[in-house]
Amino acid sequence: MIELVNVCARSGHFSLCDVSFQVRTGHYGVLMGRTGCGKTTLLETVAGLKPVTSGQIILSGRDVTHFGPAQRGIGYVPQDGALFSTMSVREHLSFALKIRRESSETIQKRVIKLAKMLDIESLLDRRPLGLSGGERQRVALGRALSFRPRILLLDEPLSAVDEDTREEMYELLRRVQAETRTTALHVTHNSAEAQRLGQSLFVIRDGKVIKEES
Amino acid sequence: MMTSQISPSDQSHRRSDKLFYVGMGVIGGSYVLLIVLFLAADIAYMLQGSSRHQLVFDNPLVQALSKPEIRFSILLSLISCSLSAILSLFVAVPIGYLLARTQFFGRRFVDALLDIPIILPPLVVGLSLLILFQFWPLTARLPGIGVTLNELVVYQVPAVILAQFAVAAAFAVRTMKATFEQINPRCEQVALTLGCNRWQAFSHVSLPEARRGMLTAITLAWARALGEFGPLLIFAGATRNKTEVLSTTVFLELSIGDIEAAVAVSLIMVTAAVTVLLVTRLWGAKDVMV
Amino acid sequence: MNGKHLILFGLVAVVVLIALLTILSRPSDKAGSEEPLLVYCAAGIKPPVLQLSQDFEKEYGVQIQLQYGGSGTLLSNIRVSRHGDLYIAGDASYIEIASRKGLIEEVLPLAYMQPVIAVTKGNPKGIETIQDLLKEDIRIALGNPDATSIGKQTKIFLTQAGMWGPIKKRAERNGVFKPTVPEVANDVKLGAVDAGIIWDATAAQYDDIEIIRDPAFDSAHMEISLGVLKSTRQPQKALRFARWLNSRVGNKVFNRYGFNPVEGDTWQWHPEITFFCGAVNRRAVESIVKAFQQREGVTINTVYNGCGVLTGQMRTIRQDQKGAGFPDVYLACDRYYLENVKEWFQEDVDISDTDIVIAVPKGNPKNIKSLTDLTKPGMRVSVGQPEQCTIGALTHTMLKNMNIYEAVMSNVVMQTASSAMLIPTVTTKSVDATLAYNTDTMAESDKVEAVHIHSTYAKAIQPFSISRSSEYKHLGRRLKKRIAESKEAFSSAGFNFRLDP
Repeated sequence: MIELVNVCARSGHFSLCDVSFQVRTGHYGVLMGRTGCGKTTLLETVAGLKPVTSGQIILSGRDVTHFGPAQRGIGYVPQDGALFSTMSVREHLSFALKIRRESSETIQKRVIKLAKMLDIESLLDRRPLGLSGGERQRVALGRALSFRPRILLLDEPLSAVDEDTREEMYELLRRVQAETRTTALHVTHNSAEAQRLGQSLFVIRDGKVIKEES
Repeated sequence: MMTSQISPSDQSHRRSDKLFYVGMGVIGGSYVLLIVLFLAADIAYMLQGSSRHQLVFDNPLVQALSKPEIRFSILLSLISCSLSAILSLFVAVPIGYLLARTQFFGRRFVDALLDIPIILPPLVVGLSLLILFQFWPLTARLPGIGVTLNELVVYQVPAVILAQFAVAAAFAVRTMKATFEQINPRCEQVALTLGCNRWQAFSHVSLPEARRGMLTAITLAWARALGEFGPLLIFAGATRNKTEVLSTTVFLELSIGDIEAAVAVSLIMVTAAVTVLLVTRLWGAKDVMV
Repeated sequence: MNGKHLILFGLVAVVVLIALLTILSRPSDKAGSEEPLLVYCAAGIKPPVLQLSQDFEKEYGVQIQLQYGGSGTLLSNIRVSRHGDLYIAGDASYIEIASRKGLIEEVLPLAYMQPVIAVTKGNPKGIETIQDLLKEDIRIALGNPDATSIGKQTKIFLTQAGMWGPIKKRAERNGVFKPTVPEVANDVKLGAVDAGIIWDATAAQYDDIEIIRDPAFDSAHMEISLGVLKSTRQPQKALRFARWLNSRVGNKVFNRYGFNPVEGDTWQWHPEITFFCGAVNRRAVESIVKAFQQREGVTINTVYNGCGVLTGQMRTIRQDQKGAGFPDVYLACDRYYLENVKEWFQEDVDISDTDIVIAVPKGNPKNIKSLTDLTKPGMRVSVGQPEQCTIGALTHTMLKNMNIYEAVMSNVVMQTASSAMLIPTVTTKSVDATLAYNTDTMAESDKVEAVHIHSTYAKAIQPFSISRSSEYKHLGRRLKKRIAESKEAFSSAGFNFRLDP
């Protein structure tokens, strides 16, 4: 479960305050809002990449407000994918496990499983340069999920994806989230997307987050 | 059915395109030509006055290479420049990273400070080093060894390294700052979420991304170190077979009017530099290819 | 390649490079080769020299063979055998003779001695002056004037005092001439004679001898000197030991044995001195310095530059702190650049001079014969900048004194920062003439020729001096002597040598 309690965050020229909402465990939560209203900032605070000025962030029952990103157990898919240009797709998928010093057998098995789930088996030895938008997002997703986090954070993951591929991606996202049983928080400005994907919907309006009934 | 005729507007476009490239080529090429011309002039000047046989076997270049002092100077240059360049990179990477990524107190001041070795005339850098070493604790006897740092460094080989490093590092820092500024900070952030601590994120993600920049920084530092002579003259002396490097050799030969020898040694420098830079670029490019 | 690998690689590279560097810079003199050093030592000086040679052997493993005798005797040995490394004589006059006979290369002063009258403790015969030696029944012992330094000096000083004749007769009658000074002292100690004339230093070795100083010997400060023999086959090793004796270490030992030592250099196995040298002198001095380093086993850090920069550097370095930057010796481009740092130097001597000439292209196309020709309209001239280089300052003075300064300057198209830049302005045909050092024209004699200027101002005089704060003044003096003997090196570089013997 993702829970925010009276969170205040500031970034540059705006601030959000008194943000409180919950995404139930195993649910697919979508946060909607206009561009520039702070949704990325909010996501970053949940991820631990930006500090909160006040309030609490509770993930899976643990108060992680003062934890660093590495200790929060979250998978993060940023807006442009942010793939590592010098690593192959395989290396992307094995990165988190290598850091955790898993055995190479374990890593290999996991990589194959992830690649199957995301349908990127043919791309395993490719580098990020030259992959299409959709392919990049799959890799980013795989990387984020590689170490079996309980929480998945996605920052406008489909903004760089073309119309035709989008439908595929909706399918993929729901399927993956269900299979991995993660609690997802997906940020977007696209209301159609929000409707399509979200089990729980939240909207940022006038600096406040409001739950909407889906 | 498609006609294979080119319309008049097409033609004028093609012509203007061609004109564009020719224009760029001419303007840029004039500088390239200048470099080629003065290298050619140097070679011609050096070879004039030699008979045909001498031209190949006894020209000033060969004469210079046969002197043991010159050979020492070449070796010392290669070793000291490489050492200075590596040391420059060692400091440039952390400084560049901190300047690009963090907002610490006094950041802008430090940024400006790092430009000083570039702005200062190299002679002043050498003089400042000399003055620095006149102060305590650099003039205090080291326990156990019995000599002062002043005696160990001034007019000795470490002075060569220090003088080259002082200037070359500034260039390396500039390059690394620009490099890290261009790397998406998101990548590091993702690495953090994947379980890395700051060092791991830096080491596994940022550094590999910065490879090209580091190559540029180290070759820039190397080239700068090779050409440096002002501070060396003042701080390291130019003692034959001890602290003489190629750049000071040129100056010294010039100062006694032996222009042919100065030009010969300069051409040796050019050859050494071009060789090293080419090899580094080729070897680096293989590795860095994305 | 991640961060760890990079750092590791970098560190390895740094270590390798430093290793290469140390191999490259290692000075190439080894301590002991097979043959021991043969040192001819005047007997009177045996105690300190023996001590020092034992210390040297213990410290550095160099074997030293000492041969004792009277100074004159030893000299004959050397002349006959043409063999050996060092000669330590009781007084400089023997070294001088040896030099004149072409046997000596370098001379190092060690200590001073004075002749005194030696009597047995208690002075039973009540001897107060030399006159007293002629009293009834006084038996005296003297050193042999032909074989010993003491004998020779006794003879000289007593002759000056008009006393040699009677004293000699007395010694011949009931006294004795001994072939070495310790033997004279022994005789006094034993009581075989009542008095003898020996060195004060020798007397200090004996507990039971008293000294009486006579005014006749007041001005007799004999210098114990060491000569490095030309016949030595190990000059570097010989000079090392010579330096050991001459150094502060040696001074202490000489003092302990009652000698009055000279103020020696600091001791270092492989000393390093700094030599500031005007850039124009480089061609003349370079080979001399190289050979000197090789022979002595020392390192001379030569710093060549324009004298303006050199004097500036001197001022910057706080020489009272003896930072390793201040020069030990200094050869300036002209006296001008010694004058303004004069308080830090001593013992300056003019080594050479070089003329300032008008340098023109070979063939002298514009037919320039004198300075006035440079004032002709349409002439393009280059000179040195007066503040930045010696040639500039000298040119300025010269032209001012000949009252053609403004006229020439109106034709000057370029002022250079250093003398080295002047000749190129002629060879590249940028100017018709330049005012430069004659020595610079010699280097490009196939392209330029020199027109001489008839003026006493058209000269740069190069003085060599030793810094007051140097710890290696003796070494500096030997370098000066070496330079003073190198007329050939200077003339072939286009200088007029000023130290003709």
